[in-house]
Amino acid sequence: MGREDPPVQLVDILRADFRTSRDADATSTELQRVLALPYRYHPARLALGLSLADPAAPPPPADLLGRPIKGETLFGHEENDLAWWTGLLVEHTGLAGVTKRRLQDDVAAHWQRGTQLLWTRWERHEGDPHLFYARLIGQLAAS
Amino acid sequence: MRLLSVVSEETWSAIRDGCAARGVDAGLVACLVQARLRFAGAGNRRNLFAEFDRLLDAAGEAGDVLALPPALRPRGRSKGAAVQLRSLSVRNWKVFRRVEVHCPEHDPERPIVLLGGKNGSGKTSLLQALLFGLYGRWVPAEGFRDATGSSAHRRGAYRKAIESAFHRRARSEGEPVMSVTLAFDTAEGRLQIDRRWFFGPDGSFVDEDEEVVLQVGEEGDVLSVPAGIDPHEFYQDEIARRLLPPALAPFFFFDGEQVKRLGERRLSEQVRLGVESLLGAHVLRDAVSDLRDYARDRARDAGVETLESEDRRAREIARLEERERTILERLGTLEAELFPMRARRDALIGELGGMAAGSFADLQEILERRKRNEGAQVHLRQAINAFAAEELPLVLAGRRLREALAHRLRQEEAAEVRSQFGSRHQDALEAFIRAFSEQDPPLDEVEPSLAARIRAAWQAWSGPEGPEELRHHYLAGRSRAGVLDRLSRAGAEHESQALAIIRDLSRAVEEHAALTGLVEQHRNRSERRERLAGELDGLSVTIEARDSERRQLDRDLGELRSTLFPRREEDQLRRRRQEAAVPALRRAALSLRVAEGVEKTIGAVVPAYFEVLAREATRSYRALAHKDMVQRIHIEPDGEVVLLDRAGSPVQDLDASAGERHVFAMALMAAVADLAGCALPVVMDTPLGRLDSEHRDRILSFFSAGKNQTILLAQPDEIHGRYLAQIEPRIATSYHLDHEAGADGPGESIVNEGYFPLATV
Repeated sequence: MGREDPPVQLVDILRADFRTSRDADATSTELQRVLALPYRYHPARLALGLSLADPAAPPPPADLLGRPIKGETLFGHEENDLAWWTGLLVEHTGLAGVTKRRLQDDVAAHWQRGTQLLWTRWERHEGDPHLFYARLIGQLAAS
Repeated sequence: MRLLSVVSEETWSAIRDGCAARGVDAGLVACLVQARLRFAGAGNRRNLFAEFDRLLDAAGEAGDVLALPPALRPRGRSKGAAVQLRSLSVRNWKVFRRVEVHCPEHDPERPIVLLGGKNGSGKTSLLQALLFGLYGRWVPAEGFRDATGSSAHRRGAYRKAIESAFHRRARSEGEPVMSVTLAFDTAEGRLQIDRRWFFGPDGSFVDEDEEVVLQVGEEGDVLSVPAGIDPHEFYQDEIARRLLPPALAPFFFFDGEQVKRLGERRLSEQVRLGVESLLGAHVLRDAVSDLRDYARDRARDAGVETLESEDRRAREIARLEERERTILERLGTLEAELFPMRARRDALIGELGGMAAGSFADLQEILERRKRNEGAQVHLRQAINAFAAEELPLVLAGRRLREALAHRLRQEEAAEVRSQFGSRHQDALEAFIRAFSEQDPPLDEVEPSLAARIRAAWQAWSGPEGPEELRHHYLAGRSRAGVLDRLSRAGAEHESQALAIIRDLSRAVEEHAALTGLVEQHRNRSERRERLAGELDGLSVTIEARDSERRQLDRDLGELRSTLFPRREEDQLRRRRQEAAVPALRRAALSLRVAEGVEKTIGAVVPAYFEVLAREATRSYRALAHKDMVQRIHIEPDGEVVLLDRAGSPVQDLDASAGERHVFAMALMAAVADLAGCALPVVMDTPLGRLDSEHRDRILSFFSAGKNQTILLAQPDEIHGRYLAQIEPRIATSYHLDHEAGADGPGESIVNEGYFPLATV
């Protein structure tokens, strides 16, 4: 075994690639289309947010064959954006000294789980995609 | 004259049957024709029509049998024994001052009386003396007649003829009388006719100034006139009955000119003339003409037209009324069609007018609003997308995680401060409290409690224990503060912002749907407008066509009524007059029925005699014509004459030859004379002048072969030498005329016994 990975730094996240399973990526692409979202990172961010609301750890994906998104794209290249995204992901683990690798795995799992949740809710929704967000927020407020 | 003196018995019989078949009694017909005969040549027809009135009134509704007075009843013409002229005396007649010609008692073996005379010596004057002496004003002065002459014209012509016949010297010497005296031996014995014409001092012949006296028997008794009968009429009737009706006279007493005139007619005309004369049809035709004039006259007097024109008017009114009905029906139909059409048109115009008002502007405004709405939606969606990308994930992560993170970050911040200050931080706190209480103005009572509160806050902030290790080590102080700030803003604030945007979008989407609905509505309305406009166009064309037809019909109706209404009024007026004039109209109608019956009967009778005449004409023509090619004369039912050869084929060229027509005319005259059934003398004036030698032979032998008295008035170069020898054995007596030229004007002729001495063989 080599030496243990160091705890993650924001700059690591900025440069790192994030991906999920192939299926989750495909679903994510479909969600991007149906929700008329301009960029791939949009459905990914929504999926991550939705999954983070569940305190349970997301199951790991079957593979990591989805197309990658750079950290600076997935979370934004502003320091503050990177900071709160990382803060939420790390806080959800409840662990100290989380490594970059661990963070990439968690993102893959949250991405997958969030995509699934998002798709399920979309399927129950009919109508303007933008009004779908209102429903999401409403459900959130009710929960 | 009596009816049967001028109309043959056969004709009368047919008229009787023909009229009976038409519900008109023959007695009435006889009376009417009789009246017509009586008033013929009597100037205007007022008296004749008054007599018609009387007769037709007496006839009753259906033309009942009239009780004819015996004197008016038809009596048969005298037939049987031969009639001979025994003497002809004239006084002051043309070139004769006083002349007498006597014929010996008739000997059938010597029937010819030959009277020679050069041109201008007075042969024709003697022939005319015979005719005028017999018939007076009824003389067939124009020769053969087949048309109804105007009585006024005849009257004038007669007066002129009499005045010019008056011997010039006698007139200049102031003699007042001209006379012709004729003596005949007839079946009823001797008949002498003495006719005198009286003249004024200026030589003018005054109407009615004519006397005729008939004497009968060896004693010369004047024939008495029955009471109530005009002597003239009575005598003329007797002349016609005992001798010959005027119409037949030209077939017995004729000159070369007369034969020529007859010969100038087509054969068929000659035949028709012959038959009509034989049957007396012209008398009936004259009566028919007068009856029709009478009907017209009475109807006019009654203020109405003739029955025919009344019928025509009634038919015309009926036709106009029918047309009016047709127009009114059509107008009704058009109105019924136009009413709903106009209502529909008004509805269309109203609807289209409403639709047209501001519709375009409305649509433009709606389209602009929708455009703005779409622009706003784009912005809203962009905002939502931005929110979805930036804020929503943080919101979605949930309050619990956000608060947990914030709490942890604050703990880790406190722990970091503690680790930096260590045990010195309690001393520093006490020093701070002292400095705080020394500040002016003093706080007095609250000071101790404030100090206690500051110590408690310090204790709470620094915590009893910090976390053992840093979970969020990667966040430097500045980053941690930024995250805490962001976390504090997430949640309710972001949610409400997002929901506001989404609500705006939702409204915009709803408004867009509403606007799209309005646009659709406008489009639908536009389509409907086009459809309605199309319907309106079609409807307008149909209405205009119907209206145009209606206007035309209105005009037609106006024109028609401008004709119909006056006619109807006139008709009603006429009917009222008719009711007042029923008797006159009844008489007029009856007279028309009689006229029609008589006319149709003549039309049927005349052709029936063609065959009889054809047979007789064949005989005489074959004797006269030197061309032997004609075997038989056939007369078609329409009067057309066909000359047939031995093979029965038509001989074509005869009608084209003037000479042959002349011979045919003589043959026809002979046939008619023969068929007339009267053994009257034949008086021929220069009959041979125009004929070639062979025809002369034939005509002389034909006329001299008969047993009837034949008086030949001949020129010396006409009958002389062998021609004279040919007839010599048949001559009973002969005369010749000598003329002495006068010093001032025409001279005077006298009659001497014996033919021209030089002309004898």
